[in-house]
Amino acid sequence: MKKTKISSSQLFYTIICYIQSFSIVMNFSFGISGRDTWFALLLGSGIAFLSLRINIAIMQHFPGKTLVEINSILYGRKVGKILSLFYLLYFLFLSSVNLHDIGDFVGLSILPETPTVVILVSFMIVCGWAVMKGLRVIVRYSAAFSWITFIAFIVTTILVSSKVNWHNLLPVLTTAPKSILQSAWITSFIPLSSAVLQMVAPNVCKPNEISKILTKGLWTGSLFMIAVIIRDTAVWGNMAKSFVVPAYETLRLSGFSEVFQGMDVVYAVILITLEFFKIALLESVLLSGFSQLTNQKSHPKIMAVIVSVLMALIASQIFPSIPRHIVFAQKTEPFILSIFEFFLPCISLLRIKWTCRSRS
Amino acid sequence: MIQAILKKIRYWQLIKNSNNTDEKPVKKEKKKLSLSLSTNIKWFKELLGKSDDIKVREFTFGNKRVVNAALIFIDGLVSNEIITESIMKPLLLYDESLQETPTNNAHDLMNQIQRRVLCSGDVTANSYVEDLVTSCLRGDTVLLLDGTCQGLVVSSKGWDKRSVTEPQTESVARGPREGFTENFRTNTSLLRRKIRSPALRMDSFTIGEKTHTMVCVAYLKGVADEKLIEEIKRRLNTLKVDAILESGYIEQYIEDAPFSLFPTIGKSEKPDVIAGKILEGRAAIIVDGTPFVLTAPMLFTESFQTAEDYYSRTLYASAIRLMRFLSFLIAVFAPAFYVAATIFHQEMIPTKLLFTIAAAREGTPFPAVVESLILLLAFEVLREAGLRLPRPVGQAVSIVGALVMGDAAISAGLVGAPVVVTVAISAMAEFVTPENQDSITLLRLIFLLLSAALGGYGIMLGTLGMLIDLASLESFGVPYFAGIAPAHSHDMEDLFVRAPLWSMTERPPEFARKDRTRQKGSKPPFFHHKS
Amino acid sequence: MKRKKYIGVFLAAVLILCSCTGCWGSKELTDMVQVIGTGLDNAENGQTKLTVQAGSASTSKSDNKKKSAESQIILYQKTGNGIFDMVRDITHESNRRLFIGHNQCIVFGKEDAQKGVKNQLDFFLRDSEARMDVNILVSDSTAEEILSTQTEDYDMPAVGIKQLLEMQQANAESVSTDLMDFSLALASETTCPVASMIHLSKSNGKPRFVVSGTAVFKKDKLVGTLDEEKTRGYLWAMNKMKNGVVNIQSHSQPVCLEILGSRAAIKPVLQANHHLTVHFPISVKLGIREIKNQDGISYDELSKQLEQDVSHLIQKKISDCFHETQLYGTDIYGVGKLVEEKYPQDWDNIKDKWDTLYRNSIPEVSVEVKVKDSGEISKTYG
Repeated sequence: MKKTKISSSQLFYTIICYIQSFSIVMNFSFGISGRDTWFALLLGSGIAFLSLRINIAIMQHFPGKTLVEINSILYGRKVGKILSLFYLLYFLFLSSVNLHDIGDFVGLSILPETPTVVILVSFMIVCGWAVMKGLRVIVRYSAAFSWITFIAFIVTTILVSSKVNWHNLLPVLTTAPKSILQSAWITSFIPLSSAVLQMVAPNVCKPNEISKILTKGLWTGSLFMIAVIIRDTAVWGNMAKSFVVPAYETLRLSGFSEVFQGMDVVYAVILITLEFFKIALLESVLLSGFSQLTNQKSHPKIMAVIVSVLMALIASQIFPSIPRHIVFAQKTEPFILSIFEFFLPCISLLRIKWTCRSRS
Repeated sequence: MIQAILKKIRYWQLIKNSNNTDEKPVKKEKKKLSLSLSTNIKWFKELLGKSDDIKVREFTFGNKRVVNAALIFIDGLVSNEIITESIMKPLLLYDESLQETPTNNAHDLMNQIQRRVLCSGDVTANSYVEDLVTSCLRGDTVLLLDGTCQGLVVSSKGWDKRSVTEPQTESVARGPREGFTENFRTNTSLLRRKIRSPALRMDSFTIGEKTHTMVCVAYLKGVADEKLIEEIKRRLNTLKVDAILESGYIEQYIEDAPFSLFPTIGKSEKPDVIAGKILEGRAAIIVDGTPFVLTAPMLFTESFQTAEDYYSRTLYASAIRLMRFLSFLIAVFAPAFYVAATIFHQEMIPTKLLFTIAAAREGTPFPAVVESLILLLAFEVLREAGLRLPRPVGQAVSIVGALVMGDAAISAGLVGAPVVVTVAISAMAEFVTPENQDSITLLRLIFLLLSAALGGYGIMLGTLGMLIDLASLESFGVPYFAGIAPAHSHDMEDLFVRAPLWSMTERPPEFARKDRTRQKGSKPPFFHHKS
Repeated sequence: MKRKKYIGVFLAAVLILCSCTGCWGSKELTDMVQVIGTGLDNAENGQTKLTVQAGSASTSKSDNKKKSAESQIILYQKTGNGIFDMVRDITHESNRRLFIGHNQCIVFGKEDAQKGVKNQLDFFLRDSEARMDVNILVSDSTAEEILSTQTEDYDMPAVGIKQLLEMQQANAESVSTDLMDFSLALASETTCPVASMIHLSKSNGKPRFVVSGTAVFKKDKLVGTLDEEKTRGYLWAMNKMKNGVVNIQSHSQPVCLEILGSRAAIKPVLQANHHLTVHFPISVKLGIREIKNQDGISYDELSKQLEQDVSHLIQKKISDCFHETQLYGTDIYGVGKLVEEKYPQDWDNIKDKWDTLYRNSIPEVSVEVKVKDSGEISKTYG
């Protein structure tokens, strides 16, 4: 099994990049919980942390093995393979949905008149090529991307500080608890996908540091996202509910002196780069899972092309409009995600415990 | 892009196939000299032909026993002084009776001549005709004796060579102004004078079926990675080519990614630069006949480093280094940004500037992309013309270029002033890092086309593609983009800034696997004063 | 060979795609009209009249300075129901598209503002080219009059209006609202938006823009205006008096003071009987800049008197403004939001009756004034 080695700091920054790319789709939770979204995200991070612990426990039982291999061991070859196939379809679904997000975002912000197919196809060309070069290459840039996002966040917050009104956050926690919980459930699995990490993590050089890095990465990324949400709420207050991408609107406001008023394209590019990272990661995970499923050393290059084209096609057709997408993300998507991220790992862990107990 | 990928794949397949079916070196039967002098001379004349500069000097020497001998050399390649003083004189004045050990046959005589008579510094014996012919062609003199099948090769190289002057492609404000020349021995001597350590090794090869060019790999034993040296030697050994006329040939044959936009083997004309790289653990490849010496492996950041960085002080050197990176970005992205801003994202331009640009665009017939392409092409034409034209015409061309292409074109309404300014800025920025010229020119064009198609999004995709390409490139096993991706803290000291010399205590681990310490504990005086 | 052919075709297609200049989102600068000012007026049958001032590209060339006598404004006007519709309709007259990315200001005619602006602002919020930092103004008469006037100071009048608004900070007698503030106020349940008023005045026979006074909206309808004095009171209360001049009569002498800094807060207190008291604690630092005659008065005495006088003045201004807003029933201070934050449990009961609550609330202003310095000299010499 050809394993590409990535270092622990690269894994750390990968997780942060993955979570940061959630900025594009924050409207899923803003639309429901409005002012108290930051609290919902905090709760969501707690739930994500729980599912991460479950996955880490599974990984520690089978050190150095990826999700697909663990499934084969736990459930027997046939059932395990079918389960892994479902996981691969889930990754395909995730990446297509994210790709659709990018198509919407680019069409909204910087290229309003270009047909979505062109945007998606050109994106997938670069993405597919990156995946053909390998996960190792993509992950090398995680540190650079996350630092650029940090710096952009700090700079824009300073520039927007004159428009920040902390009273927009008050009164705290007055939204209905049902909305907060629903919002928390949405944000728990969309920013961080433990299943993806479980495919990537075994590639790390020092396996005993995996759990520490994953936890640190999760909390750092979540804290960053909470800071972004707090800033956006402070600037927009209740209006944040009506924007399609609130973070982008805040970025559009930040400008200083007459010269730098229109820097939104630059910020949009940063957000798209994060999404590129996420989709490249998802696609390479999908392909490595596929190669593990079919017992090959590494996926043939042609698979990368096929998968890229497939993803572009699915993404362009999957949702007829943005409002439908938002409704889907708020109502249906959390169910799907929680099955794969939470319930299946729970079952795997229980099975491990049961096997251990029955042995001893 | 896909074509490039497929070609690369095919190239690698070729390499793999050639590795699998290694040809066993066919040992040619080498012809040995005959005992008869006249036969040998006949063979030599057959091989070398009837050229005017092939000289065969037959003579006899010895008083007790008269021996027939012949000197074969090529006029123009040899120094007549050496032949006269070091070879002919001692031979013709040779008195056998003065020798202690008497010689019985011609073979012993040859040995005695080699050991006790000839005054030249480098005398070797060889019996094979092809080898003797090769050494003749190199500028050595071949001494043949009647009665022995052994010949002597006496080094007598002396031809017209260029003196050591300041290199034309790399001039510095501070630092040595010596540059390599076309002469192989001069180059190696310049390198030896920089690194006087006995650990400096120079392993020589002869490459090129027809040109028999001397190539040597110079490295510091104990510092450079042995696998690297082996790999370089292996790649050089697999070269079965007709000619090596310049180090560029070798670079193109042994480089890792022939279709990448970025060079993976560095080059330089200055001995101090090469010496610096050897001291870090790299290997230098000196090629006879060219002043450009190659260095392997190469990192992306090397194209932003100059020798002067290390001779200047920290703060200034760091500021200039940062400016070079900025210039690279400006050179590559300026036309693309202009086109993207004026065609797709007009909100980005400040309002007043927008009206100025719009006014300029009103009068011109071409779309913004076509204007930029025309001007880029015009600039490339100017540059190439400036390189090729004979010197007396230089002034006229620069005046024509500047005035006609710039001012008159704007006044005539062919192009707009903002486009000219953008292209001019990009061109000027390109020359800050002349090593990157080939990659900048191509990248600039690619980004311009991408931005014309998809605006800022196109530029972003192009940048991502370029970054991925850079990150996956490897130069002799070392990641090309080391320092930025993968990022290590020890690389930061010489990347965007130049840390003070006394703080760079370790060699970069990508090259020097064994001996990491560069220096121990030498700090400037202000550290010592604790009061 | 077949594969090479396909690859060749694909590459050719890509190259052609890349180099074609008619790509979907590309807009040549020569194909667009830069809109720098938008005006909305009332028209018959409930329709809206859109006036658009466009910047002309030739105004920035240096040899056009001599053209100042001629008018260089380009106007487009349309009457219709929806703004987006009208913007596209203008293509019947103009050979170029309108581009509103550089729109500097949105001017509402008085009548139009009285009928309600929410529907019209919707276009500016949805459009991807429009920006949130556009200034919103209300014209004394019609927006068309403002936008069709060429003033002598600026080549492009709408840009001039924006610069004029930025200067208002210095006199601290007018507000400057942008689309973001306006929309935030509209989105809130209780806060009411404000906007600057602009009108034309003649000086030497040439027209000039004058920004003075504040337009007060209830929900999205213009209900009243505040003059300069009352606007001052509003700005004092909203903590926006950072620069400015205070003119006062002290010891029967006109004294001119400069505001060095001020801090203000609004603290609503809900009494037991559901009556509201709004506290305005203000602290100001001043510096004496001009006194007509300081003879015989020491600095200490003068500053004490001045502090008292200024304190009374500020109190009066704030109370006056507050009472005026109570007359209109417009909570432009954002008191409602503060009450919601402070009393979240009671808020559900109060918010339906907010209007009456606000009209009956009592302001309590407490001002703390300090005269920090008196300029370069401490005494005038006669």
